[in-house]
Amino acid sequence: MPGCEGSAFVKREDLTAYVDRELSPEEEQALSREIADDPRMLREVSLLLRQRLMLAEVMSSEQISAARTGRARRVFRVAVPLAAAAAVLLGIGANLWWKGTGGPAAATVLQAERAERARIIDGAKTRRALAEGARLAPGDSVEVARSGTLRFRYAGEESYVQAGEQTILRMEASPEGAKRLYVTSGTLKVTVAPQPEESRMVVTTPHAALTLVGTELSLDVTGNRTQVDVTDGTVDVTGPDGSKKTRAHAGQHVTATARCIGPPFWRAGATVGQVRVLRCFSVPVPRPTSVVFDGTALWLSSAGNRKLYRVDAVSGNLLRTIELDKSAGRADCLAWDGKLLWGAYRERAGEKHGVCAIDPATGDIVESIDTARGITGLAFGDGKLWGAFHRGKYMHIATIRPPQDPERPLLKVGYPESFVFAHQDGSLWMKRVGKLLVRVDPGSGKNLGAFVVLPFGGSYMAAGGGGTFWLLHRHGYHVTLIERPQTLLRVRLEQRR
Amino acid sequence: MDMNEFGRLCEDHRRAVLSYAYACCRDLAQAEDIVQETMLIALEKREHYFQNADFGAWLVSIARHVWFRERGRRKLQTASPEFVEANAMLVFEPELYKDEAWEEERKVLEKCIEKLSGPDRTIIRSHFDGNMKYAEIADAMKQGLSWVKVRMHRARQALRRCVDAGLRRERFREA
Repeated sequence: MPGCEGSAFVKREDLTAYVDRELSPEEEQALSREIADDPRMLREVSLLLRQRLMLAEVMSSEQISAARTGRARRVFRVAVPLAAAAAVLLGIGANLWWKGTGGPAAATVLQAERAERARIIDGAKTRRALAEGARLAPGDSVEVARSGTLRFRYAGEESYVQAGEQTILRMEASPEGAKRLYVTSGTLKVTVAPQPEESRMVVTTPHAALTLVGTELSLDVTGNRTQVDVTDGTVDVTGPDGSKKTRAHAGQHVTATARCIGPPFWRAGATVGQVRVLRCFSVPVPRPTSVVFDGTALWLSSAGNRKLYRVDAVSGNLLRTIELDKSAGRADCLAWDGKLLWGAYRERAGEKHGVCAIDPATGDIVESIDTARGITGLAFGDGKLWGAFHRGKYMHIATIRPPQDPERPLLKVGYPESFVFAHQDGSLWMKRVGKLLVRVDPGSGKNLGAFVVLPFGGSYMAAGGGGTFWLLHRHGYHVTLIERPQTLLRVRLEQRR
Repeated sequence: MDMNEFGRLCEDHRRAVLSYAYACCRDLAQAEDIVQETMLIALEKREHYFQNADFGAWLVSIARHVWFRERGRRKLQTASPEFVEANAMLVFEPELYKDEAWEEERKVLEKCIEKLSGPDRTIIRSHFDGNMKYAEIADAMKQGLSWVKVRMHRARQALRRCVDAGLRRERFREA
């Protein structure tokens, strides 16, 4: 470590522990003095802090926000004993198989349980009919003819692979005994028992490499794309060369082509936690920041320009774009009053905050209302336009139109993170970043319960009518329509996620 | 200040500010919130910025206020040593966080993590992904605290060497 070699009193590992905040206060103080006196150590600290951020980003890209807290610890604590147990079991299994047949490890042996119109192509390119009970070894390929089917199982465990008609796959060799399949084309259903972290099953196609983590999934491979549909567990999808990683969870599907891997979309009809997914599609809007539903279509604003986009609520196709007046700034949040769009602006000419009514036909601003504070959320319901804003420690809501009665206290509703909200079923609904959608009584500000929208992410949302909500995934450029559960959880708004 | 110039400066310094915020709170999502809030405040107060002042230092000073506010509000502990916080401008140099080099290095790092030995990878993942302290990792792996400390250091150094070698290979290939 070049930065610490000059100091005889600093152990090499201490600087790493220092930036990780793992030293005692006395050690930390002493080392701080050393660092202050030694530019090389200061440089080393800079590089270690830089590496910390990069590692955090890499890990974060591997885990979507849903699994960030808690899961990683669970994975560790369960994975170690599991890995140990699996290693012992696999070791025993491999040993027995080796003694019995002189072949490879048990985990890499596939045995056909059901085979109709399927052929095996061995290493010498010899084709022969695949019979039930036949074993496949690494290097063997399998072809399933039209109206044929093949189901096989990994010896010694509850892991199955079912190949549909016109499927071509190859069993890949893996020196460490892990499961490896290459699917050229066709359909595949895979159910794999939990595997040790070091030897997770990997299914490769011409467009993607899928790492399975105790998973059930379906795979559809054609000449130009691979579609992965996850039924249970999680799957890491990367390009065949290991580039770009996307993690798909149960209820999600991902499409990979030779050029890119799409974001994970929720499957219509999937039940995820408390909510049911009704629809999910991408939106052709650059850096979308806000969404509102006008009864037939979605309106979205963009952080990258001053445009509003009208998008078909079924297909996701762009219907229309309107350009906002330059003096109005960008619409950070939107509301729909039945005729006009309302947009809130953090900043306008003269450093003022306010909301504007926008004619959806022309984009003209037909009315402006200045507000004393920056509005961070807008909602329209029961003939009133509601605004949410920060005041001191808490988030507050007030009516903007008609103006709030000065005699009436503002409603305190929770921490500033509850900045996205909508009006539905006579209540205001406030979304806390990444976790809960909270029902708030507009009269008293009291919370009436909440439901968990995780893992839909910390995005924007709009009321969809009839107990549904649109969630905008800002980074994934797509929207999801969800149906809320009938039963809400009791929550304390003061508790942070 | 011209808005284009302002946007460019913000973009140039964004990751250094993110690194500072992450060092403070050890939560990437929260750090991103702090950066977002910092940029909004900077935008609102951009007229208060002196043209000849260090823009990065100005952003970090705003980020520090945002972090102090959040820390007080949520009763959080600062996760970075006091010295680092007090000398943020020395430690978080924008030059180290240039976008192009960052993305390239990050791709190599992803591959390097996979090349680590099992225990090293577990330690790195537990600390960064599971947010576990060294002592917790030591308990889980049934090892001593010193073992984790040394192993963590070696793993980080191994990653650095691997990334350097990977980048050299990439550049050689391009040449």
